[in-house]
Amino acid sequence: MRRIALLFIAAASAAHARPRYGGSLVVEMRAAPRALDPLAAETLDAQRVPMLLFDRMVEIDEAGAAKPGLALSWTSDAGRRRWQFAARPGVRTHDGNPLTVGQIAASLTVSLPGRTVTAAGDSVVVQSARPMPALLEELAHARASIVVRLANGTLQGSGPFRAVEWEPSRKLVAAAFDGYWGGRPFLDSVEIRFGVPLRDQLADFEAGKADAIEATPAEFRRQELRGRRVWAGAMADLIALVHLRGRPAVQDPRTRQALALSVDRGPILSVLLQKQGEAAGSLLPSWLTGYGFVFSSQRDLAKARETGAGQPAVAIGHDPADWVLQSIAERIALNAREAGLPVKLATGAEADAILVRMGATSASAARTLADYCRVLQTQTPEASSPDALYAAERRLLDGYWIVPLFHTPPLWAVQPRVRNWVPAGRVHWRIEEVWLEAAR
Amino acid sequence: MSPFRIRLLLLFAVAIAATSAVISYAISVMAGRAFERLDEERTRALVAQFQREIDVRGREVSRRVESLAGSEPVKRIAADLHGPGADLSLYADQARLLANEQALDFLEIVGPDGAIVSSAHYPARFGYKKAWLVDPKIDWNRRAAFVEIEELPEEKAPGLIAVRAIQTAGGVLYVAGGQRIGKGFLEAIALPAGMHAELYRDTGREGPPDLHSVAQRVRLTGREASVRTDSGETSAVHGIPLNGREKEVMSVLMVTSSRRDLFELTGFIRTVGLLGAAAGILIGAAIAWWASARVTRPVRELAAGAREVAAGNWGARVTLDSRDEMGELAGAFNKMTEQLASQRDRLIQVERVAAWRELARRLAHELKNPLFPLQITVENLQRARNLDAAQFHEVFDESTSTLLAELSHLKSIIGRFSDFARMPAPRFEKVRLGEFLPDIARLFEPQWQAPGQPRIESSIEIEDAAITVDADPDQLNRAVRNLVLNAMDAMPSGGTITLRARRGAGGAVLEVADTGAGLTKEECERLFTPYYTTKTHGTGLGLAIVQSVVSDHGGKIGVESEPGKGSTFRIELPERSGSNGASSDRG
Repeated sequence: MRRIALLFIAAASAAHARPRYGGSLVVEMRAAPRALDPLAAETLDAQRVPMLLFDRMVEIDEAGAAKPGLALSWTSDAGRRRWQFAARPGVRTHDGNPLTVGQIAASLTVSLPGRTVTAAGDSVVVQSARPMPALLEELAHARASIVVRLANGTLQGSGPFRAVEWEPSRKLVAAAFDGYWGGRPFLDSVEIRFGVPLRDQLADFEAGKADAIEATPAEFRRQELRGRRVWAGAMADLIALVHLRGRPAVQDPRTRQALALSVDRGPILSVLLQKQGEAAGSLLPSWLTGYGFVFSSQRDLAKARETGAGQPAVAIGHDPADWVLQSIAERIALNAREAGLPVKLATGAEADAILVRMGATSASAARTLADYCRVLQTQTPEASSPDALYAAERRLLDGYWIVPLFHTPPLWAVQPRVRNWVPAGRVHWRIEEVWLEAAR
Repeated sequence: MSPFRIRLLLLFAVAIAATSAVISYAISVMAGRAFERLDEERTRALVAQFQREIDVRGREVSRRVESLAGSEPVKRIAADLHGPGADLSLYADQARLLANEQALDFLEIVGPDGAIVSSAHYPARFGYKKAWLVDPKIDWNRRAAFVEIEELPEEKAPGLIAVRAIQTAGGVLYVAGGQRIGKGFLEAIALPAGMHAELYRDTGREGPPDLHSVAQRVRLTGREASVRTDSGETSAVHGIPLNGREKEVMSVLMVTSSRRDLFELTGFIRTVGLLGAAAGILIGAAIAWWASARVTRPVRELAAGAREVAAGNWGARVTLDSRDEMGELAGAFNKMTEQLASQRDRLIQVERVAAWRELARRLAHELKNPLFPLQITVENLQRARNLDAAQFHEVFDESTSTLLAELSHLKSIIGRFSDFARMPAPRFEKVRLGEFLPDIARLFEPQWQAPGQPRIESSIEIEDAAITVDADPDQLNRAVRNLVLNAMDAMPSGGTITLRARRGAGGAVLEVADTGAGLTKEECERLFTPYYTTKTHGTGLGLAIVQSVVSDHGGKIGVESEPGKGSTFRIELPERSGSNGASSDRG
């Protein structure tokens, strides 16, 4: 009798761990994308959404290795100037039509400017006069998603979910695509609510109205202590202080240097970021470049006082909806005042420097650096090798126009019924692998 | 309207207006003072109310902080503070959660060294020191709430702060929390209508100087201060000190109380007072009009009666139906008029009798003089009957001649009296005095220059030869000749007679002056009385005839004389004396 009972318990446990189909997942986030077009997605959060709907030719796994996507295999010439990708057969778009090689080539022609993309039988050929050593990372980027642009302006994808309801900046409801080449997702649908402040996310989460929310470090820690399910991704986000070139208050390099040297990153990381991240002296995280430790992130209060004496007041701005950035900005202001540099907080056009959060958009360091440069509106450096990348980053940081502060992971809190919320990629979700426990 | 009545009217009006103005001003001043007292009392009540509110809020804040100090999370922090591997970063957000729980605006958990472990209102301040908390001499658990300026990320703000200390094995953990003394705090205080409270913020920019001065006074004295402002809405500003833990002034609460109601009410009272004064003046003017008319009517009647009496109406009477002084005055006036009329009648009677007596005396005198020669002559004739015929004829001729002469004299006397009695009406003509007076002088010239007679010099002074008057030339000639004769009589030893003509007020002036013995004042007064004479041989009718002529010409006659200095008779004639009679140009 006891054995029978144990068998039932074992069976029940096995059933509990086994994926199941069905259910709708509700996700809330602060980002508010205005379009589903991957080319229009500027931020990391905004780029995650199109990845539900559109496929890429390849994926980059946790180890940084390329895995087949819509391309089953690929080859390149010795000079990496010509790449040929064998298209996965039998792939259909959300309207049920087959995804053709020509459509893939047309999509890549748009997302890979400067390269020649042609259809060759069942393959797609990408050619360039210059070597393309990082083409696989580039193709794994959200911007390189394969999008069929119909004549009526609508977009068709072949991703695991298809959009059934779209309210720009507010909501996306995506239903599982039964014809997905990788197999139907476990979830019947996923609803993503955009532009939800952290405070409201937490309230909805506590009320059971949201399954997955973004978590502040403090909330992450609290939920973790309470035994809730939390998830921290790779150190993909960069928190940096960007001095605005047009502002008179920060034209003097001594001002920028004093401000950069006055920041005491340790207490901020320990308390405000609840140790969820690492102090940064470089733009790109070490896991991506391997040389991050070379850039100093240490505070030098004496030198900051020396260079900051007599400097004008500096106003620091930040995203008013981001608590963490606000707290960090306040702390930076306190640190700067210790160094004798008058710093206050500001909003909008009054800011001389802004505290920003940027996300690594690709597993490619060069690609991410290029994206950072695009966001920061600076010239994109040539970085075809690690040395060139280092030199380019060094040049970017010289003059203290950009002061890297922290690399932080995306933090999520999920309800216990949400299972397998372990996105495989460093950047994007894999919601197609998520499943929901049955209600008990 | 009579000047007396106007003066009376003005006097009444000014008196009433002044009284109304004084009463109005007094009411306005008294009302203003009463409202000022009310305003001050209201302010004192407000200050007391605010202090009570602060005390109540302070006790409530102390209770909440005390509650937090005894809560499990704070105890856990205290326990972990010095435990092995203490990770205080875990509690970085704790103050915010606890502050929300107790509805506190400020809350900080501070370690034994004064370093902030967690701050609700300034999360980024963790690790920074709050040194004033670490004072072993202060027993925070017995200390009431106080006002402290708390630092916020973008500003500093006053708060009502309470501190509680928790003793742990490794030291003291401080919990400092409170409420912000801000808009919400002040709005929760029930202020009377028209009052507004806010904290004084010295922004360093230009602001109302009144507020600044009040704040400065409060800071310097540590006590309440007030000022009245007239910027925009008239109001009063009261500064109330908010004291810190050492009783120093940490901030100043500015309570603005609108004085609009006060000013409106005062203005209303002032307006009513002014309207009352205006109404009082109008009513006073009406009353003054009536009263002055009532008061001056008897006076006017008396004046009218006096004028009538002066005009010769001795029968004029004043009729006043009053028993007051004016009635008595009117009675006295009537009695006096009656007495005057009676006395005048008696005087006329007396004068008439006197005149008749004088006339009789004169007649007797005049007639007696010729009668005596007549009697002697007749007696001589009777005696002459016994004389011879020649002698008789001689005496008879002489006597009849004398009889005829004396009879002629008697006839002359009777003729003069007859002439005086029968003065004819003047026949007016244009008479040029520049020719008239020299003609008179020429008439007397032989007599003045006759040998054996006292020498009389003549002088004619004509201001303007063209001076012309309307006059009866014969009567005027007679009158002037009478004056010349009188002048000659006044100078028995000779002298100078001056004839003058000049323009006078509305006519001409004729003067006959002599250098004779002159007249006394009494003689001058009686000079024109009929039959009065200073001469032994005169009838006393000469000057009476002159006066009659002048009077008939509408003129006046007067005399200026002093004894020893001669006399001057002055005839004033109007330019046109009358319309009757023929008018011709005659010199």
